[in-house]
Amino acid sequence: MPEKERLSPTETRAYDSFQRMTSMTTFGGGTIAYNYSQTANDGKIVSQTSGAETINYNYDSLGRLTQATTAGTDGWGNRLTQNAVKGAVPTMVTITDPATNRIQSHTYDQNGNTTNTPQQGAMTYDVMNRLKTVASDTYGYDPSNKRVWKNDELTFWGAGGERIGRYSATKLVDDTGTHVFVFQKVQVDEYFGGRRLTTQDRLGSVGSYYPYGEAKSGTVSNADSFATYYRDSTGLDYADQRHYAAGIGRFTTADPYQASAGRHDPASWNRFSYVQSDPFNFIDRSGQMMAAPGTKEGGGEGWAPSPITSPISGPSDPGSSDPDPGGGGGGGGSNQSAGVVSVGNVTKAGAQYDAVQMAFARTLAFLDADCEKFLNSGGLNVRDYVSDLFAYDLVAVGSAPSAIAAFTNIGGTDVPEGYAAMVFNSNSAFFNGGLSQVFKVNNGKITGGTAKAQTFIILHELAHALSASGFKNDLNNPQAGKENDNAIDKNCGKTFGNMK
Amino acid sequence: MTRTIWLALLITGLALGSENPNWIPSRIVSIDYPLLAIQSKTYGNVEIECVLRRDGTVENARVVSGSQLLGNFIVRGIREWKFMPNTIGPNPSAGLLSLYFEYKLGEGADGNPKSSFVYDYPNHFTISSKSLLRTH
Repeated sequence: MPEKERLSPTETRAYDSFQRMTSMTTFGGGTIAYNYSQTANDGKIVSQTSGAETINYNYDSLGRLTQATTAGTDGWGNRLTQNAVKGAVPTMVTITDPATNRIQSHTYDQNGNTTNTPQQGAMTYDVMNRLKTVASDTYGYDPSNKRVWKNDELTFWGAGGERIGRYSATKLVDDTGTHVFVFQKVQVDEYFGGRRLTTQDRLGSVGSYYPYGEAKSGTVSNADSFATYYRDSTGLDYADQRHYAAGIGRFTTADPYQASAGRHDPASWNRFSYVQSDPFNFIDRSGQMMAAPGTKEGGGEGWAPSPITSPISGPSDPGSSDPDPGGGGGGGGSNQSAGVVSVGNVTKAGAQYDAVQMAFARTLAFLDADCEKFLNSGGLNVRDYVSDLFAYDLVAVGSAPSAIAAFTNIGGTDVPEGYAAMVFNSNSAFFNGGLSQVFKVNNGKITGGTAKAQTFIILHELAHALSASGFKNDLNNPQAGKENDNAIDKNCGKTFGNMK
Repeated sequence: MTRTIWLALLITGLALGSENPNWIPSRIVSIDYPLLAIQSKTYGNVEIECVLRRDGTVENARVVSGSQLLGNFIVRGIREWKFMPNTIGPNPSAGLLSLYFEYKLGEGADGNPKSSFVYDYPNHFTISSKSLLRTH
């Protein structure tokens, strides 16, 4: 098997003699330069240059950002207005109650949780003051207050508090009434040197944002967004222990970590404000305490989980799966005959690959006993086979002529030796209903691209792979192909019935 | 469990290295060419290291190098094997043994390809089969 492509990101950072980051080149490309005051040794960034864009930052005597694209805070340190000095930037005006530190157009409960805003509508909280429902979203939390459920989406967190991945749950019900949950990965996070392997700037933002987090172009929805946060479709950012309203510059609930305020630090007395109104020099990864972006979370204070610091390990068994080409007894590569099918863009990642994986899970979930018996008639077990197929990473997606939906065995193709045992054609009726003229799923009885079409094609390939009784070799033999389809139709009817 | 074996190995001396030819198989159950390897045209050399008990049965085996798909298949099969008890020295001892497997894939066949299994003294095995042409 060829070695899987390894991750080798490079990120370059430059520092001055005060150990302040002066520039950063991310592995996604692009360099951002940060400039500091020549006269005040306060570590505050006075301007940043990214490509043709330069942003200047002004601060007041309490270190609060007064001008970049923003202007003005009240005595509590709440943002009051955002004015456009140049260009089209989002503007805002917030009126706060000087007696209560509450925004007048919002409503709050007794604990200070925001219960209604013009942007989000009604919000409800659980007994731990954690956001439970907002708009159409419902959330669930684990004991460390990490959000693990968002509607039907499950998030896994690692021991170091880092997000491992997000999975969506689909419930299927088979003919016996048994509920089967299928989890499909939405996103699996990878880390390098403790940082999530996405192109992030110095603050940990994915994309480009105004100082308080409004997206500079378009709308960020259900994606990693501003300063390590995850933006929901509600417009709120999930900030680990709280939710943040980027447009307002405030969290929706009070800071749950009491010790993040101190008598010596007036700006910390506002339990709702974001990083004490200095959003370009500081971030707040957990929604509990501001920190300089370069520091490890928690800063050794023992109150919050640290991101993992060890580099990610590569795929297991590096290199050893690569067969010695000289000792292989001459595989088919040397015998390129006229019948060799060229398969382009062979891959084991992406939306189409995920769809294939999902279709396999669905097929096994709905598989009826007769169909299973038919597939096992060659003396092998279909469930073991599929399990090995994925355990050894031998399913791929690639582009081939549309008349081929998928194929088993890579003999007679140019798929690299050892790479896959079953390949699904990205240009075929497996994914696309518009190709039904070119490839007729079950002799035209099933529309291409549907769940049933995918299951039909998978069952057909499995019958080949497992040498099911009576299943014929249909290479260059359309008649045999039709007879094979009829055999699937005859033996697996109940499977399709289950899929209603 | 394996610790005692390692200890025993250490005590009997490192002369019983992995190249020790004194472990002669007394029972070999042939190992096939895995179907998934044929379908994916996976071939090549695999080195397996076995930990043997004093009585010559296999305590454990692992893939040292080569394809995991082929290697894991061998490891599963090799537990059925037996070796002549090692009688060098005053007492039978446990030991470590390396076995070399060569998987060869010939030119395409259709239907159900048979695999052949050949043993060459002392520790080399060749398993051959034929690759399969694609089916749609």
